[in-house]
Amino acid sequence: MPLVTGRAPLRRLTRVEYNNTVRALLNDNSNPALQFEPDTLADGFTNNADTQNVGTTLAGEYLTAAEALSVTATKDLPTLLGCNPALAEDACLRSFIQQFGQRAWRRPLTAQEVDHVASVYATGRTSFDIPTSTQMVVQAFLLSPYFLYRVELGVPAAGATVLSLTSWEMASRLSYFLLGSMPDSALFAAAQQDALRTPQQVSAQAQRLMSAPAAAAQDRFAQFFTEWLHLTNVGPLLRQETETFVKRTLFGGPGDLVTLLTAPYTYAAPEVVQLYGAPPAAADGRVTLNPKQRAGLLTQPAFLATFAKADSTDPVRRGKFIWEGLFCGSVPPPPANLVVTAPTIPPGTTTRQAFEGHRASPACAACHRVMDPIGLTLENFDALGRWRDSENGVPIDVSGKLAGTDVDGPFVGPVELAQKVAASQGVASCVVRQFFRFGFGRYDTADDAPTTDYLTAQFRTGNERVLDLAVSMTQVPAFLQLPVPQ
Amino acid sequence: MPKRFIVFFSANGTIMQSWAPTGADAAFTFSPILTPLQNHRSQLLILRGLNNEVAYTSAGSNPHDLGMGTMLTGISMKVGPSGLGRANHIIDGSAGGPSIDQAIAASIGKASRFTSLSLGVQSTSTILEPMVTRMAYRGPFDPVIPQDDPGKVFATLFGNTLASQAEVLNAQKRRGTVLDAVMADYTSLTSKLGTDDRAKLDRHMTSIRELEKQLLMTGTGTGCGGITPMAPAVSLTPVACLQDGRPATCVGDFTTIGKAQMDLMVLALACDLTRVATLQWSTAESTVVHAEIGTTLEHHKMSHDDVTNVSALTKINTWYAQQFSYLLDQLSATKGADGATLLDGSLVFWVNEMSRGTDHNRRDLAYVLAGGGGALRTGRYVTFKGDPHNKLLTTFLNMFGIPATSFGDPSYTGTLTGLT
Repeated sequence: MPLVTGRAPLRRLTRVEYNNTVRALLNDNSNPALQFEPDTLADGFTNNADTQNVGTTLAGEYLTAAEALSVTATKDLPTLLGCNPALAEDACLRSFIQQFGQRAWRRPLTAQEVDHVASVYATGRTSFDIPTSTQMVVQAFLLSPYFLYRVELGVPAAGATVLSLTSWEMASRLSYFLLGSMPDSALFAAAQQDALRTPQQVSAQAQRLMSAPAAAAQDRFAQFFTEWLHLTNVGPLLRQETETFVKRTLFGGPGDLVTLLTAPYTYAAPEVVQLYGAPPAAADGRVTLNPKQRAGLLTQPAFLATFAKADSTDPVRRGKFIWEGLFCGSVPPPPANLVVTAPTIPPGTTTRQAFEGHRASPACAACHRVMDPIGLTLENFDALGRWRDSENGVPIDVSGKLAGTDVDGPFVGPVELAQKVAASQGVASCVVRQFFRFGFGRYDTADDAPTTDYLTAQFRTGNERVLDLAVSMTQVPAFLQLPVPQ
Repeated sequence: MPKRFIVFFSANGTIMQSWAPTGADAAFTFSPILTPLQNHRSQLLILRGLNNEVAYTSAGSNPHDLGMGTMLTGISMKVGPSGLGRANHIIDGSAGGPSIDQAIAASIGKASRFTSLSLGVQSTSTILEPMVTRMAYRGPFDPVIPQDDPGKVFATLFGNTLASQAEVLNAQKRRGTVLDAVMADYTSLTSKLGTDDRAKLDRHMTSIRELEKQLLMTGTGTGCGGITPMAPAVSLTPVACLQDGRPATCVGDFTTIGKAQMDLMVLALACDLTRVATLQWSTAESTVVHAEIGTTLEHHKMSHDDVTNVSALTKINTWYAQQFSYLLDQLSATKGADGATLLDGSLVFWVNEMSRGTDHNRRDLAYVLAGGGGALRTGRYVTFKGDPHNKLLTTFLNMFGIPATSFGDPSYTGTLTGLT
């Protein structure tokens, strides 16, 4: 099956991307997008283009932010403008509009566009002073669809079935994919030279963006993992642990998925180290964990606490997420008329015993026989992710089994679960699909299956190195081309 | 004819045996859950027995999605390209058409500075399933997302009114110039895009036009029935909230925020800044822990077993009746510009995405109407025998002078008799 270009819905900047972009564009660290309406989550991801809509509230928040940013930006007017408007006002403003506009809209402005923005300034000047009128220019840039959206029109070609991207568009694609921000000066320079048109040029830039120190790329990959694993609402120290672990593993560490899923070490704040009951961190920050208890992301408190209730574990949710989020399996909803009762745990029993009822009832068993045997093997971890051998004085049974996967069979406890997950080709393929969703800002469809299959094959051949997966993803038609608008 | 329309939402169904009044018509006796409303008896029309049939035939699968997305729209939902996700919630879909509040606002909202006002109490935060977080839509894929922060609501409503006249005029001039230029960018871009992207930008442009309207209509927002607009004492702090873990710890006290939102709603109506307002308590499938009345488990979890949890669920629904009563108190204590009380001139609609949480029942719905501007025969309890709730929504349209024989799914035509 040939790889197809697929859909490329118009993407709007997310809150994170907006903040990163104004930081790069205006050197403004106020993070105004924290005040915006939250991005709509699509299975955890904040950047699904099909969920992005601008209602009146968000439009108003954009206006407020643009005004505030423009006031800050014009405090030092000569620096912003790069010229002295008191000497040659018209020429100074036009050069500012051209130069600032090219960075704000991430492409050169046409002559008509320069005139159009200059007319905002001219109208402003009939009533207002130079700084205020300049603020209006900055606002016009920041409220434009060319700033708020990642507009991709492609290189026009008569009769084509797919379009290639301009180098300017490719610069933004790469930059927002890997950094969650506007292109840096090297990408802009490459775009200026029209040097982002071949797969090799694109690949070289992708690798450059992820090479040391790559702080922005590290944040972007940490964002992928926290959104994929739904860690958005967990306590900051726990989330930070997982983020740091991901960053250090991918950047300068082994870099592969298996390590992420099995490492018997982490990087955590002292409070979290205490929760682990582990010895203090080494000089390089690494915390060595008990390899009989801990193995990678699924045994970290951020994950375990996210899929737990405030005061007790929730083996169904843990099992369900691993089944859906890591194996890309599906679970039908409970029958609409089913009376669902979460079991209470009487003294002298374990959570597992309480949940046995799920599999006794045929209506429940259909799904729970898949989810529960996964989740119950994590019962060694309480609601906060602390290790426990017994519950209510009864030793915990953490035997489980996987069914319907490529690593089926019985196993015992969290570490064996992690090893099975890490060994599964199905999980590798699912991680590729999740990364595709994040990278392209949309869900994968049946049309994309050849692409994700191809990427999975590449990923596995390359020892499942996550940064290499990102490079591979820039080399497929979905990344290098655009569909013709319909 | 009523002048204003208000929607009040609470989630997860009720306990029918404690909600339903006894007796019939004007000779009814208040039930335990509705007892907090007894001071407003003459202004109430309590309805039972309407069915949300669309919620059983709609696209989608999760019962809370289906209840919420069809509750005010009466039409099948739309599933987006991503399909269904966790618990078969729609990932990127939408209601299939405008909600009744927006349909009414499109007619009566023209004359006010804010076409409608959408308020929430812990309604968005960071919920993973978007369909349950919103009930109002301007149209497909165009949700009206409630504002959860009373501080922001106040700033939106009164930021302009409190500024000096010169500042207001200057801001008008600046924003008018900037937004006109920006609109030209959108217009020229949309012509180059495919259908879906064009629709997305068209919706964005509608929002900018609404902003421009708010900007220009500065003559309103004074008088306010003698009330002086005061900033609410509570405001959310999203920055701290993002740094500080779970939403429950960062969204402020449920009761306090709710009261502030109701006060702001009444103020906005008194000032005639808007004539259509909605208040969404939490979300469909609300997971709020109602600690203020001594319950310790999530509302949704408990609603799955209304035998074990009958007492807690009754308490929660009674608590919502108290909040609804507070809103009615304020509406009847405040006079609009015409000298009548706000409640007299308003149609108020208390809705829920289902009637019973335990089996996700979306039939035999438990509705309360209040006020009605003389268009409702109030002071009564009326039971229907399974009419589609679309008929009620169509009746609402007609009450506001909007001619229609159906609302939402066109196969459910007609209006309800016996209400007016």
